[in-house]
Amino acid sequence: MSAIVLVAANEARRLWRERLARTLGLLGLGLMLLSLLIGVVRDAQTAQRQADYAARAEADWQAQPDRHPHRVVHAGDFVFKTPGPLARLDWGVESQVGRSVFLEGHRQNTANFSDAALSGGLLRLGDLSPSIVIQQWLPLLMLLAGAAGVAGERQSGALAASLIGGARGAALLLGKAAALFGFGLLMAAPAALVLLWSAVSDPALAARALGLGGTFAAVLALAALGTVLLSSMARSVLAALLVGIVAWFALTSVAPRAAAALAELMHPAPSQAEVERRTALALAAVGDAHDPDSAPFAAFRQRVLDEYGVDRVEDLPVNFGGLVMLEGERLTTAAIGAEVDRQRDAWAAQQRLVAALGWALPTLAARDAAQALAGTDLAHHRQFLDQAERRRFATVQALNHLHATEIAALNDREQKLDASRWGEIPRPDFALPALREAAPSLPASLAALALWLLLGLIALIVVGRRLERRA
Amino acid sequence: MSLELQLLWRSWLVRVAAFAALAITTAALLIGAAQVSRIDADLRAALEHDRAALIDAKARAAAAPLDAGMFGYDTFHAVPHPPGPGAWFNLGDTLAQPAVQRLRLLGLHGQVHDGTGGNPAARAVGAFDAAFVVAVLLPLLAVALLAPLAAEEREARRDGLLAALVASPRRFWARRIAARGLFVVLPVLLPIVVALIALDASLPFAAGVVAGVTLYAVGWIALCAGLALRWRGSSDAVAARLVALWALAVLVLPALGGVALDRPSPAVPGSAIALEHRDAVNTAWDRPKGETFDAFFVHHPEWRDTPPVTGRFHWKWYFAFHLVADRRVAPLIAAADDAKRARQQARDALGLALPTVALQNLFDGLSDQGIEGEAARFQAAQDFHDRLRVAFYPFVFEERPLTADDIAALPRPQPSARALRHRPAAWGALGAFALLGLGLLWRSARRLG
Repeated sequence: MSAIVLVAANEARRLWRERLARTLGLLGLGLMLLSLLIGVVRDAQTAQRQADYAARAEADWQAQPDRHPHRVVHAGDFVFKTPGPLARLDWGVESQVGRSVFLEGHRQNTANFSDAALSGGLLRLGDLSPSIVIQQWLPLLMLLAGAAGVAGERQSGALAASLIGGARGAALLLGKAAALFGFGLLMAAPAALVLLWSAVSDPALAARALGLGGTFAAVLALAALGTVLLSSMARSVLAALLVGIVAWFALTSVAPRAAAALAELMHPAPSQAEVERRTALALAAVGDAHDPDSAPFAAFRQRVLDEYGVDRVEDLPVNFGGLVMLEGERLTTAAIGAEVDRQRDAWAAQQRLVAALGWALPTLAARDAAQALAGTDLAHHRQFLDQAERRRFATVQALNHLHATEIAALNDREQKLDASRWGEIPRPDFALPALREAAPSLPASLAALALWLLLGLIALIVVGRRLERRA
Repeated sequence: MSLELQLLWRSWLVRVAAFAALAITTAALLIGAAQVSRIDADLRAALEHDRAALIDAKARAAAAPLDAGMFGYDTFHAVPHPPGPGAWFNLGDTLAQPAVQRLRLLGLHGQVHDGTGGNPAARAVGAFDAAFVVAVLLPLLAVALLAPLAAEEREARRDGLLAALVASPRRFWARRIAARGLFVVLPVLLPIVVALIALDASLPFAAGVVAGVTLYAVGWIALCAGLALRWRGSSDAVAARLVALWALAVLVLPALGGVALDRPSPAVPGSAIALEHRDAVNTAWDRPKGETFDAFFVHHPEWRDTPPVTGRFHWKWYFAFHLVADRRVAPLIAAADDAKRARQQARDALGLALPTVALQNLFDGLSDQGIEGEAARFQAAQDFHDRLRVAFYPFVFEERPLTADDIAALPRPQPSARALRHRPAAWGALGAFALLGLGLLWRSARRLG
């Protein structure tokens, strides 16, 4: 153990003295700070903007005049998506998803107006979130700083000297990896502070913050292990560097893009037009609830008449038109939900495939875990959409209930309810789902990362022993 | 020259790099083409269903004429937004936008912003297409192959020998750089050229792609060679510095630029448009109908002399207030368009400093991505919606039912006009980059001599 510490201290000293490593370290620290600034400001501004719109929509809702409850069903309501709880650290899919959903009767609308749609293409250049800096840029800087770690000593003969002098190969490599890991942690330290601040200011996020910190640490540890492994196996520093850069590029840039594209091709999702067309067909089968006398609701009418023990709808103690609205909304909501879910299920299957590839490509596992923990992945977005849909259904049914009980059947459409009633309609806010619920692939992704860490450590020890034998 | 090529080919590192680049480029082209053909198939299916629905509507109207207002309210029409030219090369926004916009007679801005493209998580990662490979991988290849250019000779202690033996150092280095440059360009460009021919790209598109790739490659090769000749360190120190430069210029700074440009020219948030439009529609229900018609007749005075609506509901009033709502958000839409244009100008300016941004601008122009492609989509929707409205007004204002012949005579959606767009600023920026790289190389070579 003390040998490892000794080597680590020596390697740390080497990194500290080398101008290249110092420059790289400052560059990494600068990137980290810059990305945190971007992350914190973007998160706060987006949250504020969404809160402002939510307040405006709330005011619009409360300011509705006396209306027929079904008019209120059609007037509709808005929900606005605020960024995920740790979006300041990982922006995830936030740029790509619609930020507002219009809730109305008989329909399930899409989330519209993503930042990307309004940017005119700029966001395609990539993002610079703290999470991306840690997953992509710090590993590159660690590679550039650490590639010479073992290969350079081999070229100069220092490696053979220390091994002949009695140093254990495994301890040597572990020490160098530990120093490089420390180099990475130092650059990532500001992100740890923001994580800590997030957890302290909202203790409910402590588990997420801890997991995110652990994921970041695992990424940096893997980068350190990979760099030292390469450096000790390569013939020259240049070879270590070039092979390392190719591997880094393939893992951090090509793999996520290629995996996402392959997933889209392998689990094709129905297009929006297809979802809408099938939804229209399903709705036609349900029938139009605005026409309570229409054929699709004949059986329902009989059921209601039987239940109340009367022969004519006019004898019902409630408004049959309102009952049909309740029944129609129940049926259309289920029919629409089934079609909409076909697309979202396909997307979820695509994401599961990408996450499963994380067992082979640890960068995919890290990406998946970080976005899930930050609450900015597709699964969390779906939670938002699902909750918005449940809210829509609750709101519409409450209004339909008023229609059935407080609007007389005679001259139905000419009546209005007092505006004070709109305040009592349930319109629940978005509730952050538990991790278990929103991130089903998280345990697998974290396990994949742990497995890769273990494999890296074993490889390092094996390679270290082989170094000894060769010396 | 051929000797230089043979020497390079003997290095396993060079062979691996060339084959890897060839494989990645080919994979990107195949995936791009597969994505586009998937969208084409979706689009064809949507149009086929649209045609079938029209035939069905005509059959229903032939049995008994239809209520025009109800038909306008219920019937969706598919406006196609086909992938831009050569989208397989540069997917751009292709997968982020719906390829088919389904529109009905209601307010355009209550529906044209609806709908999503593909999986947002895949969009957040970024597209895997040939444009990405050219923009990012090609300069990395230049770094890898040119970093050891001079340092390798120093490390092998051949530099003194070279200086003594070579009659013209400049010609010697030129040959050597050209040979390495070929290993940078060909693995990326060859599959692209094959794809351009196989997928029957138009000549201007093919010429634009090849010229753009060549300028970008020349700039990067010359820049890397110039710095590799100038910097005195070991080959790995030179490589590390070039990689850092590559990362900053190709990935970090463009990403930073993208994030930074969001600030000074904020687009009008879509939520504002949605709220405003909805508010206009909702208040219309509660306001006197005369107000709606007064606003409507400003745009369509030809219906001014039709009888006023006295009942609770009339389709002409309903469609009138939807148009009024559209007109009310027009200033917001115009402001959003202005903001997008300002951003495009900022991107052009950023392209002058960052060749990768210029290259993306250029490719976006060639394959009609970015603001022009998006504007074409909105324009197609707007044009069709306008024609449809005007065609429907006689039926709702004169209370005429819709016959099968009337339905057959309704306007049909036209696909959005997608075309190659010229981006002179991007060409200028890339040309300047190539010239600057060559200039740096020239000066570095002079110092050697």
